[in-house]
Amino acid sequence: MTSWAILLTSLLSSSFGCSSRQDGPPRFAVSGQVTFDGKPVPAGRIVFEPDAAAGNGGPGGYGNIVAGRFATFARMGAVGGPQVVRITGFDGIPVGEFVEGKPLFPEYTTTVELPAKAATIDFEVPRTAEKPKKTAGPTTPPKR
Amino acid sequence: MRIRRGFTLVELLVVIAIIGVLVGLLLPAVQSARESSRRSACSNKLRQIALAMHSHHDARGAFPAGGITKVTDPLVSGSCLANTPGGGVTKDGGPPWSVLILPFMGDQPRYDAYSINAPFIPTTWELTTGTSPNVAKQFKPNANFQCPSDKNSRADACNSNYAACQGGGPYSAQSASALGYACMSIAPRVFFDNGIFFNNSKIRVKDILDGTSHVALIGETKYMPHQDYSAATVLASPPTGFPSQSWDSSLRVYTGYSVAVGLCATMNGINSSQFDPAVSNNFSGEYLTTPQSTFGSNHTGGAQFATADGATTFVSESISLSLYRNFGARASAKTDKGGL
Repeated sequence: MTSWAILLTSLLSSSFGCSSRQDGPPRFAVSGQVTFDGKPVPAGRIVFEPDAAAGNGGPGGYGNIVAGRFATFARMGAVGGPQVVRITGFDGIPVGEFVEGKPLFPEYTTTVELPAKAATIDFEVPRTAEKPKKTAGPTTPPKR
Repeated sequence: MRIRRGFTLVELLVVIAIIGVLVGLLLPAVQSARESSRRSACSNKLRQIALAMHSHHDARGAFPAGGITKVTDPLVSGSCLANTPGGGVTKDGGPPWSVLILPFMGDQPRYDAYSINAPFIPTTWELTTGTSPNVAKQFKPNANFQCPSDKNSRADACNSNYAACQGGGPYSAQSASALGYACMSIAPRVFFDNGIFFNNSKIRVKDILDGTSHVALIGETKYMPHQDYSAATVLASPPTGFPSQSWDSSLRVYTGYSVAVGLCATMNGINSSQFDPAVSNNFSGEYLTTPQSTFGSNHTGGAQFATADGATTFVSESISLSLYRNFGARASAKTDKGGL
């Protein structure tokens, strides 16, 4: 009977270590709130980019903003260190084929230092970010 | 006294348990072998497409255009809201890259069935205004553009799992003319032109200054909006509300509603969106940006790309973002060329 037990244990233990591993640098979940002019952003997206100018590197962190809150997706967290944060926000009122509505502000960029562990951090997009920059490019009507 | 030969209950249970453990060990191995073969099949399709693009380059002197449209100037951003969706099939494109390479994929009959000089429509939204003879020819399944690992790539669906690379960089890195198309005032659209495929592009190998083995030609996508409809359903009773696309959809380049259909940029990391195109009520605004900004696949941990020299390579989703963004651009003056 002992031999059976040894066999079973060895079989079972040999199956450990087959679980999926994640390669690359460790990524940590980031969550928090995003407000624009003090009010929660109804919908949008947030991207954490390792700040190359500050000597950081690695994959980005990605999350959606829903009703003022965001959390990075599973396995899509941010690496620690200095980050460039890009935030887009929408008013949540469907327009045309775009159910999240019109942008509240052009892509808002800021920088933040993230710890090498799961973090909670809030972002406030200032009112001054509202006016969309004039889109570059010629203003002559298109020829067709 | 009779001797009864047989197995006790305990013996039977032990045997069943051992068999169970062995099968439990075997199943994951079988599953991963199946996925491995699907990945090889996908890699093969990617390579065939890359080969067809090179044949196009040989025959016509340049890689195919990302899409041919009549729009040659950047659009005026001030009039973004003036147009209504579904308007103006004639403003839309001619054939996209996926149609232009058909003769070089051994699919001349399918190519001949289109009226190449007539408009192609980009999404099912244009079906209502479609007067082009191509409308009835489009939205048919083509297995050469489907990855077998994608559960949405059914035999009766007309989606594509391969997007041509239109460039790379953060959203703000789009060129001025590209942003003119993007027309930020209604929704962020992603139009790059620093890659190999974009509106009316004619990029030759000599324009790829980073070296053909360092620049993405095409990559995998799992985000093309086509909902959970068969090609027949899409044509017979088009889904209302949110448009489906096809592997042979043209670029949509008109004010306010432009979409770089069939193209994608190395803007956000691989698999970095939760957007599932088959879930019809999941059509958040992501469906206008994710397919054009995010490559992705159902293979574990990354996606396959064909580089401009025709080689296929697997790129991990944990690749450095700055390196990945340069991967899509044809002349980024990369300093870190190693690996890609």
